[in-house]
Amino acid sequence: MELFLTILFPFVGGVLLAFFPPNRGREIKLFSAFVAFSTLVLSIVIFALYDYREGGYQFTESFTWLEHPLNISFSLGLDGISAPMVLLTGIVMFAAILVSWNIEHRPKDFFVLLMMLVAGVYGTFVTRDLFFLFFFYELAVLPMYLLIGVWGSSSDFGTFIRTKEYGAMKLVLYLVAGSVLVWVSILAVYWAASQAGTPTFSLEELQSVEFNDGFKHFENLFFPFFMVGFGVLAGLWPFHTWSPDGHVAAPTAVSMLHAGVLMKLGAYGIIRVGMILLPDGADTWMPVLIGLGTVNVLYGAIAAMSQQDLKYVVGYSSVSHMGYVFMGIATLHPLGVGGAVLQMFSHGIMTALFFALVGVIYDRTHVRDIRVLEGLSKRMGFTAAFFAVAGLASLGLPGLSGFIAEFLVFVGVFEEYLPLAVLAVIGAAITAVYILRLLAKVFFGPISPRWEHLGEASKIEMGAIALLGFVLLFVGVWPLPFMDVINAGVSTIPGVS
Amino acid sequence: MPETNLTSNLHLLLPEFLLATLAFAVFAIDLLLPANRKKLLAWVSVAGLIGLLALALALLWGENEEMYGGLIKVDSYALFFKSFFILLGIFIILSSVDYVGKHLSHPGEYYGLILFSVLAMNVMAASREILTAYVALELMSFSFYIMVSYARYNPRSNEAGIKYVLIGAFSSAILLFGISMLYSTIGVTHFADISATLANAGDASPALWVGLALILVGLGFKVAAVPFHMWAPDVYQGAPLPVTAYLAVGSKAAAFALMLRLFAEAFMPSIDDWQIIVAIIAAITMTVGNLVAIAQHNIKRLLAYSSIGQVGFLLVGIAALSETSPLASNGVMLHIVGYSFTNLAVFVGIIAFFNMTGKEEIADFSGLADRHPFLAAAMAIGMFSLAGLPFFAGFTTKFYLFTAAANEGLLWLAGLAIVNSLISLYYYQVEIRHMYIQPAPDMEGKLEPASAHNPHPPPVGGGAEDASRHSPTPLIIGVLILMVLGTFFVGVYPFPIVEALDAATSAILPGAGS
Amino acid sequence: MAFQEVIFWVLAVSSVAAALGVVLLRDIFRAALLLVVVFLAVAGFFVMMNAEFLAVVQVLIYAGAIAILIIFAIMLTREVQQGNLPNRLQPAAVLFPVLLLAALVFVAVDTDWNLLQDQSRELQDNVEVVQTHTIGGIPDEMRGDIPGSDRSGLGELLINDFVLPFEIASMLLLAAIIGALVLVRER
Repeated sequence: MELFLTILFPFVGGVLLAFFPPNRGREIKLFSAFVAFSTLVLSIVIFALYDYREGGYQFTESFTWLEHPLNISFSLGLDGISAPMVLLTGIVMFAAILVSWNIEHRPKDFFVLLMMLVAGVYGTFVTRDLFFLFFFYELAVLPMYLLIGVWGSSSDFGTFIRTKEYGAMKLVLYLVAGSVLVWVSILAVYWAASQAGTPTFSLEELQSVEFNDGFKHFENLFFPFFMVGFGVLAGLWPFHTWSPDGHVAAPTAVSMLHAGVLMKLGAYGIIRVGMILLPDGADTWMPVLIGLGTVNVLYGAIAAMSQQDLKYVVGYSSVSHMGYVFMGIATLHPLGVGGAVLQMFSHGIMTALFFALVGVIYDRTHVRDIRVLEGLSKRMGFTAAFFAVAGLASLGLPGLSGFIAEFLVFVGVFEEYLPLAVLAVIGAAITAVYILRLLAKVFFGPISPRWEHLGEASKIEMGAIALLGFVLLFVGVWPLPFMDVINAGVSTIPGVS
Repeated sequence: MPETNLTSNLHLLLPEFLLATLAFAVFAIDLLLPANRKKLLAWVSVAGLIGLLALALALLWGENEEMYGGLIKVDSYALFFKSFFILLGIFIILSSVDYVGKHLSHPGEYYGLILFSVLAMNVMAASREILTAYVALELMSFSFYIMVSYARYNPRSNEAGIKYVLIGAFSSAILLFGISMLYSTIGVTHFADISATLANAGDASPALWVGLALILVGLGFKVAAVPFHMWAPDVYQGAPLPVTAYLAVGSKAAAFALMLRLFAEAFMPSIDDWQIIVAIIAAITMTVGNLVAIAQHNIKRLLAYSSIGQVGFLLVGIAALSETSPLASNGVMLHIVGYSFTNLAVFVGIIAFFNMTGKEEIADFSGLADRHPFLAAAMAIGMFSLAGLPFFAGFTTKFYLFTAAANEGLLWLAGLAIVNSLISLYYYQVEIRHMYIQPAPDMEGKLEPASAHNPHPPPVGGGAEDASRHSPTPLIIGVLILMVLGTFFVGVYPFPIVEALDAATSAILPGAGS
Repeated sequence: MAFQEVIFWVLAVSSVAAALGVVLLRDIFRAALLLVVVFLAVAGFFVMMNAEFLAVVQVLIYAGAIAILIIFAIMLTREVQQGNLPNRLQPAAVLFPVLLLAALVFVAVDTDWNLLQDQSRELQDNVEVVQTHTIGGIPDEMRGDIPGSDRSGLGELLINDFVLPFEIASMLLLAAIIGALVLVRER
């Protein structure tokens, strides 16, 4: 029942919100924060109660949805890979609601859509059925267009303009194009399973089907569909271009949720569906994925270095950091995959913190151009301090969560693909360059007179920022509870050794 | 002996007889009512239909009887569609009331013709003989010819009527020609006999195949499958809005009810010959429908092309029919149900909008979300559902249908259908962008926000009728809520419907028990 | 050449010629009159095939009622000289009917109609269901005859086996009448 509640809380919250009078912004926000907080508490409880010694799926429950011959059941379960993701979703959602306190334009619709998005994310993480995994996966994408299109912002970069409609449409079409590939291969999986005599959408039952028996190169043929289809959402190069544009156009909370949680859905899909159902295909295609992941790391870092817009910097840095996730997954090495899952968690918190801080700065300065922003730490000490924390986590400073995750990924890659590991370390070095330059220029340089009268972040925003920063520190200092859980999950993935 | 067939079991046709009686009653009451009380006719029709629905369910539940020597069969398939069409008729009448009062004359005949067409659809779903099916199809078509040209003083409606009659007659001729060739080569017209003959035919004559092809073409015209679709956009655009909605949902559902039974009960033995043809028509239909829809500026034309795309999806299900699996047949019917709720949600929204503004270009919907949030939300839900996004009917029904296709080895067709869903998402999003993101155009005071912000509507005209210019009537909002709830219901909990579909499928495909 | 053949050729040539006239003449009134000739020639074919009943129906309904209706409609309409305007689909409009005609001619020639009749008979004997359902409520001694020559058989069919489609057809006519009234009556 616990897992069902994680979907139900935001969903019912969203439905109830829809009946609020539209002009009662304060009540709407308070109620949203209440729902988000309960969901966060629930997520923490679930994560704490997950027994890593026992491993496997826990908190399981199952209801038949459609009977034979489709055999779809609404079955839920949590394992070592999804447990940290559930926790991540809870944290980021609560922080995102808090930083949305300044939404004044149609607040009701905004929070309803946000709740639906979160319900979809939870659903994807906790389901054990291929149909429902895809169902919730699509549900998480659905509100994006309106969230960005209505509440986003258009940017004029002098030489070119990125309207919010453009960002929203591009994002949705890319993501749905990705899910077209996923959908086709889900149907193929069902067909192959049906040929093998077990027509079902249950992930556990599908896991025991030998797909290559019915159709010789089945796994090799359809693994790339999953890899690219889910990879689009995770920002896999060269299908990442929606991500910076989308993040720039999106309002702060949506950027946070999107970079922090939604992109993780893609990586999660590759592991949960691609690697677990089609291990032979994964084995064949992993060299390609690690190559693409390396490009992600380097390309993202170099692109981030040359950006002038704060949000583009963070957006490309997300692309770069998701590269480590791909590389870790592609090692098929327990340390590498474990590192990738931890990186998903760590990067989710970190990038949410980044976007929250950028949102705070932009709200006060109405500028995101790093050539104009100078010396903000004099007026926004709190913001600057936490930007430094996020930045240091991003470049992998020991003591912060990024270090553990990236270190594990590097170890895994060193074991399997030595030359690429060198490139990955170079990527980390470039990250250090652009993050430190950014910190020095924007926060710790001499203050420009234009920002003399700047105010600090509000109390509510500080709360959200402090929460995220605390988690980064916590994981960095004491990663053991996370690694225990993650390792319990990774050890069950076939083909990882 | 035929005589025994005539007199026994006649009570099984009671719903049809009573439906005809109801139509006559509406015509008769129409004569007695003063001009300002004509709304009563709608309520009489709706009350009658609700009674008929209850009667049909109570009387025919679990029946499985052939009548008139096998011309029609009262089975669970027929009962499923009977309930569906009666419900559809109720919703169409309810969403017509405001529109008819404002824009059309002769309401009595209008409601009577809707009842006639419901009757025809019921017989189409029940008939197991090709001429009976044809005559029922014609009765439905004639009702539609008249309703399409009902807005007499609107040239577009007239043009639509002429086009529809001409194309309809043309396609009927083709269909009849095909039937005559079928009859002249194998000498039978009952579905069961056609099936038995095809199973033994071996290498049948070319005339038989041409006959089957012509039947397929004739039905293709009726459902507006590409390349027989040219009439649809003009007719959809010209017809009065509730009629367009009825045309998009009812005539398609009925034609597919007929096709599904025809292909499952009569043509199944030679599936290897026609499967690929139907699959190719399905592929072309959905691709053309969705691609051309992108270029439309008028919401009715947009929906015409989108419904052509939906016909392509339904044809995917026909191509995936199988003697041993109920998936495809269930999928077609489930998609019809989900599509009807969804499409009606969109159409009823447009009707409400048109009743207020008299406009129907896509750009006219700009800023609707600010003025009428519920209307915009309902239409957005409908469009997301048409595009196949989850939580709404469209996702579940498409998933079911495409799974059926994949399961029969038509993975390429399922893949193409999924790509088409993506294309359709694009043009629905354009419409949603207008409603939610674009600011409202300057309405020159003609259109003020709904009462909440502006309790004093501008003093143009005045009187009770004028109030409906500024906010949708409770009636139409009620229908809209029902449609949206239905869209959610099919999308989230299709189990009870699929149960009913299993029973319906086992009536037409006895070997496909699940 | 037997007398019947002479008649056949006369009917054939006149019907095709009249049909061409219907399509090609620019005066729509004359075209309508030629349409009557086509209808009458077709009625002649029915007589030659021993389908007197159909022939009578053809004369009464098509040559009589429908032709008169068309002529009335023409007389009530103005500007009837327009004809069809040319458009860019004209080549396609020529091509497809030609292809269709070729296909149909091929089918008509290629199909061994008599043989098929025997085949289907055989099948009917083999398959029991088929036999009970063939359109013949026609008594056995008339089986060789062409349907339509036999008025009582047709009548029996219409009120026995096919009473349901017959009733639906009557509703169809009712709908058509109502439609005509609605669309033509002034407000």
